[in-house]
Amino acid sequence: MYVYDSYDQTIVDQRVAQFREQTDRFLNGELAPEEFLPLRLQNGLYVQRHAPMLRIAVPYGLMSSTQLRRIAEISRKYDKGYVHFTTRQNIQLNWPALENVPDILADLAEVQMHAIQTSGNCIRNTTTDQFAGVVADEIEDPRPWCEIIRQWSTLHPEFAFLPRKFKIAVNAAKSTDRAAIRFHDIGLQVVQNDAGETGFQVFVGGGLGRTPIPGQQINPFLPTKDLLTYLDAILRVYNLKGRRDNKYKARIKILVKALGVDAFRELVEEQWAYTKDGAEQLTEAEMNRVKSFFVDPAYDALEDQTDLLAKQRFETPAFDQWLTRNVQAHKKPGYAAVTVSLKKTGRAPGDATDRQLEIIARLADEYSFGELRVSHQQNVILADVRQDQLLALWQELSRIGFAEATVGTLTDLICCPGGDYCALANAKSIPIAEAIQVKFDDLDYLYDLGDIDLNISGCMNACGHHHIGNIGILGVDKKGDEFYQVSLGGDSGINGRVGKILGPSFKAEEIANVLETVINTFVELRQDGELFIDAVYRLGLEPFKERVYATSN
Amino acid sequence: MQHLIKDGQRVKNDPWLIYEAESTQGLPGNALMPLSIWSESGTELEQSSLPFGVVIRENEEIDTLLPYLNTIKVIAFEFAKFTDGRAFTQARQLRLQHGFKGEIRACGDFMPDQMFYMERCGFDAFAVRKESELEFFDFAFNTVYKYTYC
Repeated sequence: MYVYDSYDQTIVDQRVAQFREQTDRFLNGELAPEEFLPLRLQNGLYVQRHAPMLRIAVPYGLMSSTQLRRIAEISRKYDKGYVHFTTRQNIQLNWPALENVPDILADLAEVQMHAIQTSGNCIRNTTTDQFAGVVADEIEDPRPWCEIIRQWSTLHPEFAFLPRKFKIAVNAAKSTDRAAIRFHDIGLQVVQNDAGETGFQVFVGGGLGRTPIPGQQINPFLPTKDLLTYLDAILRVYNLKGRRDNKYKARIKILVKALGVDAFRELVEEQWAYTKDGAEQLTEAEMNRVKSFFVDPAYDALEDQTDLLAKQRFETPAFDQWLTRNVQAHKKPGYAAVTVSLKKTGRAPGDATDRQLEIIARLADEYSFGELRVSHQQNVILADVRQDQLLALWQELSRIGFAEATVGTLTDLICCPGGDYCALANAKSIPIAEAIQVKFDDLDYLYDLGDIDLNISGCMNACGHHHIGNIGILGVDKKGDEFYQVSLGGDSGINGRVGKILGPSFKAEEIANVLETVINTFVELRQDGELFIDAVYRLGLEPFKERVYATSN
Repeated sequence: MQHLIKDGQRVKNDPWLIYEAESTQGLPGNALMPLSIWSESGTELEQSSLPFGVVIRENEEIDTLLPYLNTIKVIAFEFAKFTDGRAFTQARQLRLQHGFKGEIRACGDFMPDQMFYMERCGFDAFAVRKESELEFFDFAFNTVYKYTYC
């Protein structure tokens, strides 16, 4: 992974000193709350329902065991001993005290971490595929590009006060998109042209929130050397032309939609012409410098352990299930990528305690070269595990309740912190998640249902990505009561589709039963082995509507 | 504009003043006048031997100013809200795309915490809101903020 040089370290250290001074000025009354607001936001600090919330950046979801141990230590020292993994591959502390935040940032800086630009109207953490660099179906490792974007966007002087937040995601897999790039302000798909050169297919204007919309292609092939000048040009147009009169219409998606992608492209090209061949162009040397941090770890020369695993599967059915659901094929023979599930029923999805984090850190050291990743599905990935050690790892994970063999199923749901924590939320989301997990507790049944993305957001801001869940649940406020709207047919992948709302919303206590009816309808009308998402497209919403609203009347 | 910093130094007797002119009649030198005067009478102003500047406000674009960049001595961006970052891009465009060599000044509602970003975008003068912000400026420029990626 990328390792800071003294220059990177100085930037982060100075930022800590700066925020310490800003916090002092605020606490002394020299800085008005509305002035402190953008400063604290750009250092990841929200003021929430019960306490401030600090969002720590995990660049493109990648971290070391040392960093994870430090997070555990911080959560114990300054918080209540647990953290939340977010849908943008970051980590949140729910209960830090404002006056401790400068110390927390200093502790983070010691392990090359920070909270810079994890909130505020600026360029946020760049996200990517949680299996980047270890799957065979990949043009090349997207992480060097993410790191180049991270450095460019960090403290970018021109784009710290944009009309609204700005999110960039990169995908390099050929046949799938685990980074949901079509639902980002800018989505970059690594591609190869006929000459075998690598470049980016660029999408712009995608997003969720109040106006969910897939991004549109603005450039079919951007040469890699032009990455930063082109991003600069897009941001420049957005900074000048994006709406600032209404925060709900301020994202780039509204601008692109209003102008049309062709007119928007012309404006970008006009800006790009000034810098395209200038000094900001990426050099081979710089690309290679960054790439050198993402070389393969010291893999052993191994064969695939097919026979051993078959034997272990036969002897231990629960291991068999886990292997099927939670273990991903690896580009290297004899290795596998493991998803550590943070979705055990009874725990808030994506939450982990300090002790659990320390165990995961140890497991990363023992089984996966001391590195781990956060997925946007709010799980943790150990990406480089020897196949002959999978059984031992599974046993260790089972002991701490992190081996729920449900990855990709209905109960591996995405869920924001919701009304239990978040000041923006209209409704709670964690109890809804739990009610559904309790209702669907039969593993064999879940496996029969196959892959289903269930995404839950507590409000329109859509942190739980409800629009692009195959099933989406959105918390809404009706005259002070919490209600939930259900949508079907969302797809975060290559097809990039926004789900359609089923109909009038439901009370919290009805939701698990509504889901059961939706699933029963699917089971009844399903063709041989059909995926839920495919069935929804084939059938449309009608049969689901009929049954759901018939039973609830 | 009493609390001015230019090229990293405090300036005591700055001659430039915002002048809400409605025409070019009787303009004093060192007037920062509205963009509309330049748009309408730029060629006339070019003939004057007096030094003139412009003040650019919220929602105004710099395009009509471009023919007169060699004449204009000071371009002042007056911030209506410190959260509005458009002038950051406009300053960069003036420097990088249009080669403007004169002074780019920030005035109005901006925070000293933003000055470092602004300086890197091409601002070289800052009319801060109050005395205490001048002191902060010394701290900011001499202790933190020295390193950056771009």
